[in-house]
Amino acid sequence: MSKVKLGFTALFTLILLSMFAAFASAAEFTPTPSNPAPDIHVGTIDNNGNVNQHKTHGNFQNNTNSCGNCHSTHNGESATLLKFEKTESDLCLSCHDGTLGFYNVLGQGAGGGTFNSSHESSSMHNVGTVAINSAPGAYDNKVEDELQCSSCHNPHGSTNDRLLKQTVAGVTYSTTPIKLALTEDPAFAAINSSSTNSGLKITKSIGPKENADKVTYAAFCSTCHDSYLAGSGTQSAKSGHYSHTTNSSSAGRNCASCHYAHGTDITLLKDTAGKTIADYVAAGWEKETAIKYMKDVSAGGSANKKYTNMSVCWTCHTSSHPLDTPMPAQVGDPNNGTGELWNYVWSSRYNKMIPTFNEKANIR
Amino acid sequence: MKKVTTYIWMSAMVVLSVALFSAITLLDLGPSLKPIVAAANPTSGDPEFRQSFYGSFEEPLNKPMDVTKIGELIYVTDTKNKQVQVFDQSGNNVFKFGKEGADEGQFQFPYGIAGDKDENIYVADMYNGKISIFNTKGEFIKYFPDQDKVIQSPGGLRIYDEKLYVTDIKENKVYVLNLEGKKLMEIGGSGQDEGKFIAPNAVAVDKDDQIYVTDSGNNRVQIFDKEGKFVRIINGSKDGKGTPLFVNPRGVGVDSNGTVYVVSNLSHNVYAYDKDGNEVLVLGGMGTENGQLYLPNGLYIDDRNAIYVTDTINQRISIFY
Ligand code: HEC
Ligand code: HEC
Ligand code: HEC
Ligand code: HEC
Ligand code: HEC
Ligand code: HEC
Repeated sequence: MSKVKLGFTALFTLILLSMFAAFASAAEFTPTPSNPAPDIHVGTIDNNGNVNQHKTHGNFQNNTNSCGNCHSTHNGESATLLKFEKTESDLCLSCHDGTLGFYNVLGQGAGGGTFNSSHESSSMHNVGTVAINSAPGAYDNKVEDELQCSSCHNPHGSTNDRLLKQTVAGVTYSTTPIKLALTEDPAFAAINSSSTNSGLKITKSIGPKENADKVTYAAFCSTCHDSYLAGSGTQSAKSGHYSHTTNSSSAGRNCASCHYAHGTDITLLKDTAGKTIADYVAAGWEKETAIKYMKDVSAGGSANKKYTNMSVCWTCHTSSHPLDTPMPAQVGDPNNGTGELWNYVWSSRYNKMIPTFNEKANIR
Repeated sequence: MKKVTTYIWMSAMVVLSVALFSAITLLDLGPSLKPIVAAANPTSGDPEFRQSFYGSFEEPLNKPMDVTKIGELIYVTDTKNKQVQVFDQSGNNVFKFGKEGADEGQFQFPYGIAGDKDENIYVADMYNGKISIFNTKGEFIKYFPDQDKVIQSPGGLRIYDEKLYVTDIKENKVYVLNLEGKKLMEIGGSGQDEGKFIAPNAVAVDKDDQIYVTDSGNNRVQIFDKEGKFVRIINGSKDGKGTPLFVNPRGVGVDSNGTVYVVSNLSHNVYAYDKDGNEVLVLGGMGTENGQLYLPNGLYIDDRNAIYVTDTINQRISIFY
């Protein structure tokens, strides 16, 4: 008798439960590429009449599952139903921490620099902890949102290389896509040469590709650092300060000439001759000595620089506005182009041979 | 008993059971009641959430990437803190070892962790490119003597039957070595074909010596026989031939019944498959509540079939059995 009774109540509970379950699943929403979350609709045909792939990068295939990785249908923390508002960079770093092998933004980087804070002389865009309008040089930029990976990148894909956003901090800085000087990364030759990877190529970058891209790249950085965009010898109308040329298509006068986009540390910093700690250790220096030599001692820190201290300035200013510092001793003869660090190069501007660091050619 | 008393008792019972069951259903207490029942009878039923370990009070776990049990202690690679934290079975933090750096006893990205029969602890460091061996006191003994210098960027690490299984994430290979460091076998190479990998992150071995490799970049787990010959794929679709259900799969383990557990990092779940590849269970789900996961990564199954999962954002190890 009591058994039957128990059975009944259990049945009753089950019925109730299943009613609840049915209720709950009726409220469930199935995301699709054109409707990834309730209230978010995306056109399926783009401006050119092609099917809008809305292709997300890497693993995010264009299937319904992929949108759900970042957009939650019921658990969203923000208006765009993003699951990861507070932990967005953690999401990106689930893959970009080296566990996918390539594009480790905590390692040496593939051109963007590093977000690694564990070495000396490190500085970086502190994603997740600072406001966008805390950017040095921000004048018109009043955006209070937190700086995130997605402040600069569009995880859904972009016509710009490296998924760089077209509109940053509310400013559409250009309508022509930024192309970067990307080459296949020999460290991943095995992946790149595999014919079965649906075209996956792991590339590295040395910065903006063509002259126009250098200007656009500077405009990209200056969406946030808006008063830092400067021509030669002009006073900024915004800050009243003078600045080095930063907006030119000539080598050495755009942000990527002197700065990494993500950040820097002592393992990445170069000296005037373009050498790194690793080069000096390979040449027989003690590691400690090399680190002391390369350390950035600037009052303002290493400021995402590619070169330590002000060494980049000398790399260039042996010709235009030359410094009267003697060129360093080196192996080879600078008169016949075999100088290891520098050689005499003809300057049409000064109409004479000028000592020129070989590294100058590597400055974007 | 008087008739009236019986009526009172009976109606009280009705009221109480209605109240009880509506409480259970309305307040959704179902799931939280179940463990008590199951705990009384731990040998039957599906594994379910039991407990979480959080790390020491002053230094909570920060991006725990892998976990293992050696002897009676639980060892966790506390990756962002660049150390290993050690717990007893009730979750008390017993001690920790290692600090940041590239020298002996130091870590930059401690990842896979495993123990040998003498209870020495092996820790793979993906950035330093080495496997370090520590004694039970957490003192550095030596680097794993990789005789042929094959290991470049070690990720997943397990030891079964005196053999070390390690995934090399950049090389896209799995190496099997004996504990003297001699390479016995290698599987893989870069690519999407069967038997090839993109970023293999974890490895496990079942009691028939079949080798399970999480092929993270290709969103699948591949199974090999003990000679390293490809057997089949698990990716959450029927027969492993359709679109993968996994998104960025990570930890993998096999329990004593042959059930395979796979962590799907970006869907915040652990999926379980029987020997024939049918899905039998899903654990986790995105969230911060007990039993939920938030970007889970490592998975270890002990000899009592308890499942340990590292939960990187919730900064804890969750245990299911
Ligand atoms: C890697 C994480 C990620 C994935 C995967 C992802 N999204 Fe997003 N999505 C974002 C982020 C971050 C934003 C907010 C963008 C911003 O702040 O500019 C966003 C915003 C959006 C928006 C709002 C419009 C906008 O641009 O602000 C739409 C629509 C959208 N996503 C659709 C999709 C669809 C459809 C998919 C699947 C094909 C998808 N997303 C997959 C991260 C993701
Ligand atoms: C599931 C793993 C995964 C996650 C999570 C992830 N990525 Fe990626 N990412 C990849 C893969 C794989 C590639 C290489 C894909 C390719 O080149 O097609 C890549 C490439 C990139 C690139 C270079 C693209 C190019 O065209 O060169 C950028 C930039 C990038 N990711 C940014 C992000 C950001 C920002 C986030 C977080 C919103 C993120 N990723 C999250 C896997 C991931
Ligand atoms: C201030 C803007 C900015 C922020 C913030 C930013 N990126 Fe980038 N990122 C860039 C630019 C610009 C490049 C291209 C650099 C180049 O090639 O010169 C890049 C390149 C990359 C690449 C290609 C590989 C490489 O090392 O160059 C990846 C992957 C990437 N970013 C991921 C991320 C992730 C993940 C985050 C957040 C943790 C992030 N980015 C935050 C601007 C940014
Ligand atoms: C979305 C807005 C945004 C964009 C775009 C952006 N930055 Fe920044 N940047 C910031 C903010 C905010 C800070 C302050 C960061 C901090 O304190 O961590 C900053 C800081 C810096 C610093 C100083 C770092 C230090 O340690 O003092 C440099 C240098 C810099 N940015 C260069 C660049 C370059 C080069 C680019 C283009 C590749 C760029 N920024 C693009 C927002 C931006
Ligand atoms: C890649 C070459 C290059 C690098 C690197 C470089 N400069 Fe210049 N600099 C020039 C050129 C060319 C001019 C001449 C003006 C112009 O064309 O913009 C110039 C002009 C100047 C001037 C004169 C003011 C002006 O705007 O005409 C000063 C002062 C100066 N640079 C200082 C520096 C300092 C300090 C650094 C390091 C932070 C530096 N330069 C790095 C190429 C470079
Ligand atoms: C010729 C090299 C050069 C170029 C080009 C350049 N910078 Fe800098 N930048 C530096 C140096 C060197 C510092 C270190 C600050 C110092 O010591 O004056 C710096 C510092 C900074 C800082 C840190 C705050 C500060 O003012 O000290 C920001 C932000 C910054 N640069 C942004 C930019 C942006 C954005 C661009 C492009 C529009 C750019 N820089 C172009 C060399 C350069």
